Amino acid sequence: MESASKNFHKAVIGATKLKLKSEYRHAKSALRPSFPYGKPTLPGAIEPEKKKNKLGVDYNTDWARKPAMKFARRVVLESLARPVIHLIASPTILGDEIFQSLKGPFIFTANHASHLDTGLLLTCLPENIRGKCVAAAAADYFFDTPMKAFFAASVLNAVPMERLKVNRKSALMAADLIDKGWNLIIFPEGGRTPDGWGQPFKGGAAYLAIRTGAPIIPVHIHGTRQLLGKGARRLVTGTTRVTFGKPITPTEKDDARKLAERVQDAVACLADEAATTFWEAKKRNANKTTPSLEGHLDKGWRKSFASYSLPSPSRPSRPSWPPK
Amino acid sequence: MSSRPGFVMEVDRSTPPTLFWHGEGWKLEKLPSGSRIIYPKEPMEALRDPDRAIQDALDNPLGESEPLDALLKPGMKLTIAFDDISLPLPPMQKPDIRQRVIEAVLTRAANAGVDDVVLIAALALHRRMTEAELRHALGNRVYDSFAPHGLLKQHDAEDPDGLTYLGTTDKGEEVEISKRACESDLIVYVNINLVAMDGGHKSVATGLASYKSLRHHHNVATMRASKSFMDQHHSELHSANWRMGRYIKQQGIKIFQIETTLNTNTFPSQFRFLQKREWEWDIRDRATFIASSKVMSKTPPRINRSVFHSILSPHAMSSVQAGEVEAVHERTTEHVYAQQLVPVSGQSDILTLGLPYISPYNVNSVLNPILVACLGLGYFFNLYRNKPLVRKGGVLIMSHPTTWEFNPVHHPSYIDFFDQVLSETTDPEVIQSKYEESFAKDPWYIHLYRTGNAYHGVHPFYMWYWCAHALEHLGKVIIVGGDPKAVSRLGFSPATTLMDALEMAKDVVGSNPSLTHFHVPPLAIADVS
Repeated sequence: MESASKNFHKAVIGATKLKLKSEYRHAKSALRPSFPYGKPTLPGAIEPEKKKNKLGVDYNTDWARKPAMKFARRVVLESLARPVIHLIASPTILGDEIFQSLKGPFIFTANHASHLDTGLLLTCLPENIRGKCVAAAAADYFFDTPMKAFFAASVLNAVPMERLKVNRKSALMAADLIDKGWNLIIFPEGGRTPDGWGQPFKGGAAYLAIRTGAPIIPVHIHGTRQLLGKGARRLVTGTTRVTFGKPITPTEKDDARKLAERVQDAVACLADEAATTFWEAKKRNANKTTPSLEGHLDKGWRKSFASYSLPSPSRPSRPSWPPK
Repeated sequence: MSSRPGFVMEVDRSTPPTLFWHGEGWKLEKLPSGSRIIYPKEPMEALRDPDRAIQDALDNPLGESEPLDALLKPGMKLTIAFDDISLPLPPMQKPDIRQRVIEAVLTRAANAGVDDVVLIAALALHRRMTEAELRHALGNRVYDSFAPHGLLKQHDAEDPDGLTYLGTTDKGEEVEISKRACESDLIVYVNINLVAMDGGHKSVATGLASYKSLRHHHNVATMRASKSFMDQHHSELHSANWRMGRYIKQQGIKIFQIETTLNTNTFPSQFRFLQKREWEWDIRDRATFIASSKVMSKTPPRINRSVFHSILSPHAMSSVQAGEVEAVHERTTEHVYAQQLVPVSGQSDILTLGLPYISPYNVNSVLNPILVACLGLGYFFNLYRNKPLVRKGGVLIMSHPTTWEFNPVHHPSYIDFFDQVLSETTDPEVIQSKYEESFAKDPWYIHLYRTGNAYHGVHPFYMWYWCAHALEHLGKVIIVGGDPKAVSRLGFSPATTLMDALEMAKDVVGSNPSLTHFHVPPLAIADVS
């Protein structure tokens, strides 16, 4: 009896809602200019067409690379973002002399620990390169709302990249931009580290390098997790180190998986260099004993805890990393 | 991307006004709540490579037929017949399908060493095409190769030396067709199927026939027994043509039929709103509608007409098949149905139609009152399968200016038919028995048909016979916005507005009638259950 009464109430509420919806549509249409001078009203029998999703990987960022936007971004980057980021992160830049003898476009692949990484890397690049950089940003994170998408595209010159599934569209768009001479910043781990240790590199950057022939520049960024790590609510100041490695040019024999492994090894070597010295890192690399970015400990708190024993760039003399 | 199917929509308070064609123009009409509107299916995807599809069809014929190459031999007589100006509607943008197909056939004939080739426009009793119209349909390459040598002919249904009497069918129907076609080793017929009525045996048995032959199926009894023309299996018109076609085949005349279908992409992008659903009109569509309506209301009808008749349709080929006539036509009909059928549940008391500026018989001409009647009652009323959209005794309301205006070059006998015959009676049977023969055999009309660009003297009768089934079925016909004198001459009722017409209809169908509006063109066939 009670359920019958509930069903009745539900039916009444449903019918009232439909009626109100129809009345609302009608009242709304009465206020605007009549068709064809105004927009046509939608017949009640027609389901409103769902608006095409223009967010996520479908977000069009072409407008952010128009000359006016390029100019505006350059002004913001040089006069505001760069001084602020350098004030917060005080980066030490190593290996940037390679750009004196190389011509782009490049694919910058870096480890990823913080939202500061893109801005920091961008501001550590030579002026002629940073003015022509796009950053691959997670389509599901940076392009899921119009505001975020606008910010990412306008300020960071970000392009949406699908990271949850294989998507040809985002890869083709990135390849097209590289072909047009844009440098690409990409974080092959697919997201910020949750525990301080690296994550396996995905093959997207390697695929783009093979497809476009652009050299990959391995980059190691150290210290940003302490400033604004994943889950951090407050930004703190500190010191960071950005190390550029030698370019890796894809060969005809490379496949995306193997090239991604080579890039990961190169970034691990740079991480080792950041913790020790260039020479020690090179020797370990030659002996194939470079510590893995992903660490060797079990999962859980011990892995996370151990990552904090990494030397701070401001104290490079304490070589307690890699863990023994 | 697949096209959205046609559908039936019920009108409610938030339904925007509906587009009605009104001759060389259009208007928006608010239909009463509860009315139904039948929207056609969107244009199907066209063939990506029509030329390749034509070659494939010629190489892989349907039914009991060899590929075209095997039928072409040196020293043979080849006749290529093709549909005339009445198809497609509006005329299509270049290259016309006929040009594509005929060039492909001629290339193969040349490779096979065939020298004796004649092209014939299958006019039946239609007017002769002008040079410009022939050039448009066939292309300059074909026209310039054949016309200067007299090898591009237009069928003459009154040429005593150009016809061959073959005999009679088992129902006593006389079969008389083009002599050249009969004497040929092979007839290649190039068809365009705009609606399910076209093609099949009708191509040769009607297109290349004489008046003596045509009168056996173009008559009141046949038209009344055809329910409808869009359903071959319930159309006496088709049955008669099939009997004649089979008889022609029995006489050893070999036909290689090539049929093509078109999608319903009828209007160019400037007029794209004409084939969009009203609630989907964007600002450009609305601006075009308003601007064109305003301009047309200020300019003389003559100018509007010339603008409308300059519209070339972006129709695209959706299929092509070749081979034995019946096998080919069966496949063709499937393609036409796939594009045009819209399922509709039940009939209604009133059917409303907006009639456009064009019908098969007034390309580059005036849609005179007789053609208005034929377009509405003969063609649009018959765009159904199973049963008509309007119940027996129901009312048909059509929107068209229906001016008392005729093209004396194209339609001379129409003028006399309208003045002399319709002023006496509108009963098709009386008209047929009392007046047909005198018009059909009038030497002046025959002269104009054979030497000018006039429709045959009997043609207006046939137009009236096309209406016979609808006239018998309907309780009343009302024309909205038409010239009252011309509308009354047709035996219909004139109304100033749609609301007036609906009030008038209530006298026939009661005070609370059901109403269906058929939103054509683009064309659709209502599959009424």
